[in-house]
Amino acid sequence: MKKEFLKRLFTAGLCCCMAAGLLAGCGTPKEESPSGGTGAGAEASGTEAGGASGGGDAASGDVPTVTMYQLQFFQNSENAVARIEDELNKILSERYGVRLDLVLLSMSDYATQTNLALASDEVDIVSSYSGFSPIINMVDNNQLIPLDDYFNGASEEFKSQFTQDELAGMTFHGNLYALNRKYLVAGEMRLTMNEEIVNELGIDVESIKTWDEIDAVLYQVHEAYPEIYTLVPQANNSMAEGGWFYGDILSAGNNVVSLPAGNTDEITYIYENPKFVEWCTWMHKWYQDGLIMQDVLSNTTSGQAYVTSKKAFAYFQNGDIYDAMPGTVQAHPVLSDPRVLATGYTNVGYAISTNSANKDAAWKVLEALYTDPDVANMVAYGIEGTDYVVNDDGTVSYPEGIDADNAEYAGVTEPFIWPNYTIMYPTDQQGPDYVKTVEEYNANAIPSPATGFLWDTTGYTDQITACNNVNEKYFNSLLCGMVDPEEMLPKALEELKAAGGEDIFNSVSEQYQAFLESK
Amino acid sequence: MVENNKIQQTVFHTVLILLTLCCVLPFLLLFISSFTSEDALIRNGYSFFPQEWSIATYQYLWNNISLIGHGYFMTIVVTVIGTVCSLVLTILFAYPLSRPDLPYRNIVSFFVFFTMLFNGGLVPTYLMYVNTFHIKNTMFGLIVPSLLMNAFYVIMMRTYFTSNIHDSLIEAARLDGAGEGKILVQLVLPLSKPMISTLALMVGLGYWNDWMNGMYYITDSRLYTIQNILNNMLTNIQFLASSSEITGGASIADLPSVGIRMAIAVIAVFPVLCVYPFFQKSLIKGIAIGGVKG
Amino acid sequence: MKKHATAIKKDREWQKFRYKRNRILYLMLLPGTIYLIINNYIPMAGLQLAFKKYDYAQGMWKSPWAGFSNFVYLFKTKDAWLMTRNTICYNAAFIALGTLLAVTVAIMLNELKNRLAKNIYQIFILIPYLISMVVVSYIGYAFLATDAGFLNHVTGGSTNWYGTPGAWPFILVVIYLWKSFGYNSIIYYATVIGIDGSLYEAATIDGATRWQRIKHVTLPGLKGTILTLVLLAIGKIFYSDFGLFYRVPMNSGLLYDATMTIDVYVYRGLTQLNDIGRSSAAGFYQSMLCFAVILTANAIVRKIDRENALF
Repeated sequence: MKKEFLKRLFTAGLCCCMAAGLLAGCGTPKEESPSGGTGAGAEASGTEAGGASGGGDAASGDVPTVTMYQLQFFQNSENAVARIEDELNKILSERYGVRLDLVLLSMSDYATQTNLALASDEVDIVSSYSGFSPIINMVDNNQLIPLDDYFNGASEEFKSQFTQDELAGMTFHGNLYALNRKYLVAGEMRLTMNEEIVNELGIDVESIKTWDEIDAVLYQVHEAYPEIYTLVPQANNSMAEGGWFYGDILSAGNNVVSLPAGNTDEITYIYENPKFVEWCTWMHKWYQDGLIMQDVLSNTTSGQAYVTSKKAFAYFQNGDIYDAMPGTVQAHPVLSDPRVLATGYTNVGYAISTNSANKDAAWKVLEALYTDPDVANMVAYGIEGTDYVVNDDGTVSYPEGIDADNAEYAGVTEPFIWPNYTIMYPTDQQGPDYVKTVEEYNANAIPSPATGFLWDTTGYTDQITACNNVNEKYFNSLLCGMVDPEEMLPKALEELKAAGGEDIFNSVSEQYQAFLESK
Repeated sequence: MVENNKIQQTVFHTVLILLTLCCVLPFLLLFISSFTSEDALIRNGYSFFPQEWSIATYQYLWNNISLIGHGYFMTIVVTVIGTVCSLVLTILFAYPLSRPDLPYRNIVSFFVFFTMLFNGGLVPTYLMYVNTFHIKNTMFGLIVPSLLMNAFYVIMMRTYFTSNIHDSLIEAARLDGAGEGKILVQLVLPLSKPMISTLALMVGLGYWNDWMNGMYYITDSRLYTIQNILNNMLTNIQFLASSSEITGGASIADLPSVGIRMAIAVIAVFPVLCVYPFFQKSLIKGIAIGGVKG
Repeated sequence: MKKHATAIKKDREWQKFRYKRNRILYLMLLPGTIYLIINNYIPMAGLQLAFKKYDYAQGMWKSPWAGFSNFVYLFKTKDAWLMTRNTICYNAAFIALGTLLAVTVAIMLNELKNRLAKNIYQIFILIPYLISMVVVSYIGYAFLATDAGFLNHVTGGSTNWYGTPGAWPFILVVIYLWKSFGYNSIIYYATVIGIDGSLYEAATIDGATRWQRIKHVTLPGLKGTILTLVLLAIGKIFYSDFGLFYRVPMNSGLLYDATMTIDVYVYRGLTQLNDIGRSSAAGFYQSMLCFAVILTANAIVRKIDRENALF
């Protein structure tokens, strides 16, 4: 019996080691390139030797592989990514002498995984998202390299893709650090309402523009339907997404100071911004009268879900050019005309890591993404015929029988994460005149005086952390109307100032004045 | 005396039944909510008696069955291998520590315990594992970091050895001429079955519930464990709604967002509940094997 | 004379034997030691990041030193004392009440006669441990919501629980106990059933009632485990369960003061900043405090009951 036990233990141990060894090999090696690798590689080294690429890369005759981290909203299958990479690398190695290894990460992991990868040489191109890791923080941590030299040496075709404002938005300490994702930079506040109720009560959607008109409509609906929520947040517990109605926040993600809409040079604390105060006062009135759900701060359901299922009447939506969802109508614009926010130019950017081993190759890939329609379309949508089809009007959609839920590569649903929509096919949701629509919208919006300015946070990190904590306490409570603004705004402001808000205010004012003078 | 016994047993049963209900009812609520239609959930909230039943959430999960199935496979493999290796390491380490006459025993104990106090942080650990040991996107990345041997379990095992295995037993075996290895395997282990089962359960649960190793060391979705996949699904839904600076006004999600959280919670918990009874056998069995004389 | 020689020879043999035995024991320690060095001790070099400004391009060793500037943000705020106090008090409540509940449940389970009932209870009380904190926050919402929550439904009131800071220390303690008592009771249960049966027999023969048996046999048998686990928990007294304190209150700013712990403060402060120096400093601060506390606690336990001290 004893011997048996020993034997069993020993065999178990052996099995473990064997299994562990086998399965360790089941990891995916980084330089995996099935099929087209060797053929294309040989060609490419020929072209490369004769041609364009600069020095400082892998040994000649060796096509460098550039790793790019990108966001994905839905889990795309690795097999799909692999086959798309194959096709893509044929084009890339032929025309540019590089290869791309695309790594798609989910939103919840994106910030952590990118920051870790930036600490070592695993990633070459990263995209920065203002919601996860604002570009100014990445620059301060020395995670990105300046791109001025690369940019100045690029082709005219490439340079002409960018406007002055876009370049200014991504320039920090005098250097260009990222390439801006071209997209909408303007927006507006919309009131999205349930269609059924609107039709029943005969509400005139066009006439809803100001606070008083909104107020009248909400009370009208509340009387007719007391059991539903009249007003809900667009997402989770933030009643207002985007600063369209109150102005620019001059430091991405840090709600301490703002440039009130309509001002050019006077900065105020957010808690003293007159439009912000107005918003909070109205919200509080509605909260007290029961138009807003009591647990609004703990909400986790989206406004869209509420309104389409008729559990709520309306929500304020962060809107732009897209039409209302079925089942809803929108009053727009409300509270202000469409305006540009300075932060619109810094929302998403593409940059190169300081620890990258293939900086030149990475730049080539960026150039390809911004100027080459074949590359841009393939990386965004996949392989034509398999992952998308081109319709007669020039838009793309999923092939027959495939939709967002069962697509292997759901590129058609998330076209806006890629750098340059102007050279990509528009999707069927975007419509065939998409490029024109966006450019017109951007052009007709009220421009922001702060475009190109982003507050340099060096040396104020302690104050920022303290102010972040104060804002966690007050900001959303005020925005949702849960607390009385008359009482809470002064209190919040006092705490903010004590936490270092005053230092921040002075610094921002100073820098902003200098910015205005240099214009 | 007998009546006293009966009353006492009833009291115990009542208290335990109440506690058990506290634990089961919320889970039952989750379970029922995962079968409730999205509309009913939004209108009426969570309820034990929903107005509308629907299996839309499970259909959505079924669409992703290959992803989820693969995740389960990875988790099971990682848990089994990880738990066995961890058990071996922990027991091998705890046994010498429990021998009171081992020289420098206190120093080694402190050496182990110190690791519970100070932690270098994520970035240094990550850089070491990835640059020196190259475990990124391999199975090792899921098994080795932080979970393979934990000071807490070592100390727990050592305490058990010290308090439940009498010295006289071991001395007797030594006098009989047995080597330490033999003593460990043939004498101590069988006596420690309850604790070893407990340890296996705790370490196993640790591996099963772990999503951090997957998040830090894996970017290839084929190696994700079920917790990573489910976590991603859960938080992506939250993110989608509030990532308007990326998407603009475009609305993407047509997901059954409320109900699916419940479904995800259910499928994360169920497998463990099914396996747990098998551990229980050894937990309850180990009663009074070979008493201590004197 | 001969006897003396034999004695010396036996003594030397005994020494050799002991030496050989110790060698095997040290060999057993080897794999674990290697792992601990790799997994824990080598990365400890990263503690220096608490005193540096981490520059991604320079890496850990070459980043410039920053003195104590990374620690300033932890103390410069009026919340510094509040968050420390919250962390300690919550943890003290968790340790005391958690141990009490887990030990009670373990002993009760042991005293049951019905084997099937034992199994069933054990499986079910483990369920809360398996549910992730995010989902627990949803369940909490189902209970505490103002208009549709169970609590208000049952009591007929309409208290805004997410706006009542005073209730939350109790709510959080209850949720913590609910989530962890099943899991914690497993260790105690395993120890209890390992207690020698003959001790119980002896007590019964001496005429002890059930409670006396528990008091004189079961509890002393558990003493070592209880002491060890309490000490280990004290060793983490400045850390807190992030999910519990950040997710369960569901972002209600009004509950801020009542639910803020050091970990939550650091997370909120550093969100998006990705400041490795500062987050490392927070961890270092917590570690140093825990170290001081555990040394004291361990010294106290050594005086009382040497065998059960941690080291």
